[in-house]
Amino acid sequence: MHVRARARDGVLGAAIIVPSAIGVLFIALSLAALLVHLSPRQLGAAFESPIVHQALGLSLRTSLASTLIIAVFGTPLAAVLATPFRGRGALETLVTLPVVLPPVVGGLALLLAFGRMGLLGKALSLVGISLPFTTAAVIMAQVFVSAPLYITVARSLFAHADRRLLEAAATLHASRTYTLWRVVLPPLVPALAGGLILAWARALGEFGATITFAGNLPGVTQTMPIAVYMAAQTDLGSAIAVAVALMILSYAALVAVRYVAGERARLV
Amino acid sequence: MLCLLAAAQAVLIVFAAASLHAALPAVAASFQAAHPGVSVRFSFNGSQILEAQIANGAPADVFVSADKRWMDAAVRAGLVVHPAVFASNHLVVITPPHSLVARLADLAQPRVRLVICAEAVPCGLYTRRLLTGLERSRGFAPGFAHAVLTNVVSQELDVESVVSKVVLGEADAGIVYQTDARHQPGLRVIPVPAIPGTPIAYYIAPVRGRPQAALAASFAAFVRSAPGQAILARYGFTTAPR
Repeated sequence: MHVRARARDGVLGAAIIVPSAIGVLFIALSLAALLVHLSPRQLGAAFESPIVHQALGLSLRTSLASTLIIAVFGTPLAAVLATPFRGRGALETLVTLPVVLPPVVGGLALLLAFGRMGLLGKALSLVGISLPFTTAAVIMAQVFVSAPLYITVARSLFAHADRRLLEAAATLHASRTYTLWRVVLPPLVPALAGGLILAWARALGEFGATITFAGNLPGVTQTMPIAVYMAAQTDLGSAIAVAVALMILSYAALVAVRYVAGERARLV
Repeated sequence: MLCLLAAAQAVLIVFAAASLHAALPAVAASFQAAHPGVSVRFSFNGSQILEAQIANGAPADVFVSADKRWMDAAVRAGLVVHPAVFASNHLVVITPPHSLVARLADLAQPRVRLVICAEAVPCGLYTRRLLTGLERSRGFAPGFAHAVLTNVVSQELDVESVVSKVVLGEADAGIVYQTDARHQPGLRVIPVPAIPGTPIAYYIAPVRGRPQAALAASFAAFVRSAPGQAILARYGFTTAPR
């Protein structure tokens, strides 16, 4: 009996460990291939190249700005989407749509809406505001593409918030706004931060919508992914060095943010 | 019957510069008509990307590059055999109907939003050569090329992206191949004088060590033959002197 149970545990254990190992290998092997391709000297040179500094600085600034915007606008929206109302399904699908759109299509949509000849852009250009080819356009592209990731996570968190807390708050005659801010939100903060990290990571890697809506100009709109792609056009070696620099910094940033968000970074 | 089936399966894979995306399939249709059972398939992209893909083992039978640089790179890497020029092209300036740019010299005006190809892309290399060439030989003010380049708001990865940003009215002007400027309603085209020593040449070469080598060579020959050249001319390419 004991032996059979152990054998069953073994099979179940293998059913968990084998797919996990394959999953990790798939990711790790691909990333390791980048590292193997590279000498430490090349990597050092990549960190010192002005294009990398410029692109990296721009990527960090824009992705942090878009994450902030996503938190400010996305959190209330997610809370709204977590409450039942008429047309909620349709609204939720609409908000999720940018995830399935090819990013280039998203960029084109932004161009047709906010471009100089666009739906809203025409009016904006009358008052002297022109968005395409600006750093603001980079941020808009990032928000468009990555906000749904956060909103989806946050909505699901709000929807599964502890009912007992809500009921307790209601019996104490707390207002709905007060309940949201002081009762529902605080315990969700670490998980919401996880959703924000997801959105930030997506914004950091954004390419298609950015190059379509914001274009490619070093220092203004050339973010790290675009700089990597441009470098790969002429010199694969330097492109890989830049890519590895991006990878190391992203990893460090993810670990740091996880740490700050209160989830212990166990994988360093 | 077996023989027919085998013949029907002859597939020739051509990796070709993006600016040929309309013309080359027309040439291939004519080639297929002359070679029953042969199917020509294309992968269009920037020449620089195609060269890197072939170097990393992509299954191309024929490589068609929009500039000498990337064909030379492929030759140096031992990827292709017998490259040959088969067509040439010219750059033009395109603008939306109402634009700050009405003639070539306007490209250097302040506040012009110009979109060109990135330097790594063949059309980007040609654009930079053209601007310095104009400054040297056409009596533009010294610093013309620099002034034009400071007006660049975006460096695109292919000609099509330049065209679309001008078509959408986001840019005041763009510099593209004349073949891309044709048949674009709502675009104004400003011709650019030919600058000696800045040829835009397209190269074709069979890829080394592929099973369809003979077919690849015969496709390359067809592109350079009179019927092939006539089709390219219809699409606005200047055909190569042979």
